Amino acid sequence: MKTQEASFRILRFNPEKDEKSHHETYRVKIDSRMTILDALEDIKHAQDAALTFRRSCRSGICGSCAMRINGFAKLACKTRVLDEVERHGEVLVEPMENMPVIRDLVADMNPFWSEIDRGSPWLEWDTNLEGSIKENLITDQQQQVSAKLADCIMCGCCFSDCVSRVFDKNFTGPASLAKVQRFVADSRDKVGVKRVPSLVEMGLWSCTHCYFCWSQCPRDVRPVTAISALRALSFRAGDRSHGARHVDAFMSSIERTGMLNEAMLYLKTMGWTTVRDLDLILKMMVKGKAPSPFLKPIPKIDEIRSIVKEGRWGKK
Amino acid sequence: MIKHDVVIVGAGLAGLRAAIEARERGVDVAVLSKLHPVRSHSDQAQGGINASLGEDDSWEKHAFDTIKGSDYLADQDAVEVMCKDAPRAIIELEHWGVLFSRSENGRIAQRPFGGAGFPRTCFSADKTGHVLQTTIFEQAQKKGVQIYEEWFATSLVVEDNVCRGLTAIEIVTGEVHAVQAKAVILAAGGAGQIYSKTTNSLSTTGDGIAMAYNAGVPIEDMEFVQFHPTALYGSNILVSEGARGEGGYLVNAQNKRFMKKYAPDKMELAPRDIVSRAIETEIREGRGFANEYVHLDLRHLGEAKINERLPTIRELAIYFAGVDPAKEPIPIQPAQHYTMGGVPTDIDGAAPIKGLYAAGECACVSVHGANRLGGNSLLDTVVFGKRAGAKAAEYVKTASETGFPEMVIRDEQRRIDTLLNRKDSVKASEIKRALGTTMFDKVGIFRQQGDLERAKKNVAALKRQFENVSVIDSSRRFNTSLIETLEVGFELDLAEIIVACALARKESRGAHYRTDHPRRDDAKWLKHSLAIRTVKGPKLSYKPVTITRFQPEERGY
Repeated sequence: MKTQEASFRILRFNPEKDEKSHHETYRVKIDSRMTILDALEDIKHAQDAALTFRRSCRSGICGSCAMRINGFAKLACKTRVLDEVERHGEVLVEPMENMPVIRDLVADMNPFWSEIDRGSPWLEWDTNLEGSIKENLITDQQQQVSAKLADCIMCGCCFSDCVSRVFDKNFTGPASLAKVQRFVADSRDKVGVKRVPSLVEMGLWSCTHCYFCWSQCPRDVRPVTAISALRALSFRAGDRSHGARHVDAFMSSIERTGMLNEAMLYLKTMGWTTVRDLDLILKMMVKGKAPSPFLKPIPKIDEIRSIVKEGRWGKK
Repeated sequence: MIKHDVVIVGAGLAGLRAAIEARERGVDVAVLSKLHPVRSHSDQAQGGINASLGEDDSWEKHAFDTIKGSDYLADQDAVEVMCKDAPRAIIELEHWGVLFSRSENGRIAQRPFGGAGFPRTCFSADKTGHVLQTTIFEQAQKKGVQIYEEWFATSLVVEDNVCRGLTAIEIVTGEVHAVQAKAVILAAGGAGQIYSKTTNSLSTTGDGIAMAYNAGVPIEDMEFVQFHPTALYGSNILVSEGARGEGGYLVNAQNKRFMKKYAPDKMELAPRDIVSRAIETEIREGRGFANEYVHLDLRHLGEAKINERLPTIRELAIYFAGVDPAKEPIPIQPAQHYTMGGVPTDIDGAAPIKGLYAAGECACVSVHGANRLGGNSLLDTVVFGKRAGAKAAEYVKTASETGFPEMVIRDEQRRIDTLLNRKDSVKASEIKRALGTTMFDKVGIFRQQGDLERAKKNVAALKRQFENVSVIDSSRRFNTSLIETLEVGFELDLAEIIVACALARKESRGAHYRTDHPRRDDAKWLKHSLAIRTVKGPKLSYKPVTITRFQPEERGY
C-alpha cells in the first residue's frame, strides 16, 4: 500500500500545565486506509504519550472518539486521514464544541448528558405486562421511526456542531429531541404524545433547521427530522408558544397573499408582547424602515392556497 | 470514603442488569465503569440473543445445542438455568423497549445461528447489542441507579476471605478512591485485547478477571479462547454470524464452499471453533487469498435483504474494507472474539470469596464450556446478571457492616505514584504489542507444545519488562496512559494463566486445539482448569464438570 506523510495540528490543553490551549504539530506516516484514530494512537505511542483522547470500539459504534476534525465533529475511527488531507491539506484536530474541555481532545460531556436526561429518556412501559410471557405484537413497519432514531450512539457530534445551542443554552439539542421522538413514536410507550407539551420548555422551537445534525451524524439518525415531527405534534396539540405562532403566522401570510408579510409575521408571533418593542417600532416607522402590514395577494393565489392546504399542520 | 451496599464493576449488559435487580430489591447499589455505560463493549454485539420461543423449539433443545457446542465442558445445571430462563428474559427486554426485528405476524423474529438445531436467535437487524445496551441503560436510569462513569477499578479489597470493596481511580481528576461495599459484582467483560487480532474493543482488557485473580480467586478455564471465524481482513472488525445465519457462504480462492469438507451437515453454520479452524486450515494449506484470508459471500442474498438484515455489516465492509457486500465478497479471517473462562461462580453468580459475585463475560458459570455458541453471550449477561444482582442484594441484607482496611488506599496510591514518576523508558504500548503477537501466533487457533513453551518464556520476559514500565505522562488529570499501563498489567497476568492452562491441557476440546493432542480425552480432561496466583506464577488445579442429562458424545456437525 502506498504511504505518505500527513501533518496533524492538534489543539492541546492540560489544565495542570497550560494556561491556554495551543496547537501542536505532528508528522505521521499514513496509508490510504488509515483512520484519524489510528494516527492518534500512533502519535500517542510513538511521539507523545501525553496526548489525550477517548476511544474504545474503533468501529464507529461506541461513540467515544467524537472530536472536531478540520472544523466538523466526526468520529475519529470512522474518518480516513487521506480524505481529510486531500480536502484540507492537513488534519486539524480539536475537541468538540458546546462543551468544556477536560484535557486535549476530551470534552466534558456533562452538558450533553444533562440535556438528554431532560427528556426522561426511557420507555414508560406497561408494568401490567410484568410476568407476562407474551411480547407486544408490532410490525417492522410500525417501529420504523423509532428504530431509525434508536441508531443514535450518543457520540455528541450533533450537539457539538449545533449552531442553535451556541446562542441558546436552553435548547436541549438534536440528540435529546431525537431520543424523545424515539419514545413518542413507540406504540409501547405509556406517555407517548404526552411527552410533547414539555418540549417547548426544552427549546423545541429553537432549532434553525441548519441540518448540521443530519450531516454530522455518523449513524445517519437525522435528528432534524425528529424535531420537525415533534413540532407538528406540538402544534396540533394546541401549542401557542412563540415558535408555534411564528410558523402559523408564516403559513397564514403565504396562504393569504402568497408572500411573506413581515410586519404581520412579527405582530402575530409576538402578540401582546409587541408593546415592549413599541419604541423601536415607532423609530422604524419614522425612518420608513417598517414594512407595511398591508399586502395584496399575488396573481393565481388559489394555486398557492391549495398547496398550503395540503401541507399545513393541524388545519384542514 | 465512598460507601454502598453493592458496587458493580462494569456498566455493560451484565452489570446494568444486576444493578436493576439489586435496586428493585431495595438495596443501595452503584455501578462503576471506566467508560460511560453506552460505550460498553456489549454495545458491539451484532447478531443476536438466543431463546427457544418457537412452538417446535424447547429449552431442552437449546440446552442440548449449548452443551454439545461447549464440547461437553459446560456445567449442565447452569445451562439448564440459562435456557429455561431465556424466553422470559427476552420478553422482559421487549417490554422494556428493545426494538427486536419482527416477523410478518408482529412477533419477535428469529434467525438461524451456528451450532443451533433451530432458528432461535432473536435480533435487531445486526445491531442487537447496541439496542439491548441502550434499552437496559435507559431502564437503569429510570430506576435511578447511581453510576460512577469513567472510574477505573484497580483492585479488590479482601480481608479474611470477605470482600470489603475496592480501590478505583476517578479518571477525570486522577484521584484514587476507596470504595467500601458489602458486596462487589464483577461485570467488567472479557480479555480480548490480550490478542493482537481481536474483534474486541480497545477497552476489553480483562480487568475484572485480573482483579479477582490478584485477590486470590482461582480463575477458571482461561485456555478456552474463542476465535470468531469472520473478522474483516485488516481491521479485525466483527462481521456478525448473522451474515451466515441469513445465508452467507464461505468461499476459498478456488471458489469452493470449503465447509462441505469440515461440517457437511451444518456447513457455514457449524459452531465457531470448527469454522475458525476450517478457515485457518484453508489459508495454511494455500487455498486462501494472499495467504491471509478467505471470502464471505453475501451477494446471492440480494441488496434488499442485506439492507434490511445486515445494514451495519454492509456499512462496515464498505468503510473499513472498501468492499460492498452487495457487489463483492467480503475478505475475512478469524480473530479473537470471546473469553470463555473467567471468575468461577455458582448459578447465582457467587464467586469463591464471600461478598464477591461475577456475571457476563468476566464470569465462568460455566455455560459456554470450551466453545460458546453465537447468541448465547448476550443471553448469559441478562440471565446471570439478574441472578447475581438478586443474590448480592439478598446477601447484603444480612451481611454485617465490615471495616475497610485504610492502609490499602495508601498502598494503592503509592503504587500509582511510582508508575507515574518512574523515569524508565519501557512503554506499556510496546509490551502490549509484543504480548498480542505472541498470544495470537503461539496460543491461537492451533496450539502445540513447542509454541506454548515459547509463549510462556515470552510472557515471562514481558512481565519482567513490565516491572520497569513507565507511564511517561505524569499528569493526574484524565491520564489515559496510566489507565492503559494498568490494563497491560492485567493482560500480562491473564496471558500467563492462558498459557499455563493451555500447556497443561493435553487434549483438544472446543476452542482449545492442540495439534500434538488432536483428540478430546474425556477420561483425563473432562474437567475445568483452575489457576490460582502464587509467587511462582499460576498454580493449576481442576474441578469436575457438572453433568445432569446429556452424557458426552462425539461431536459432529
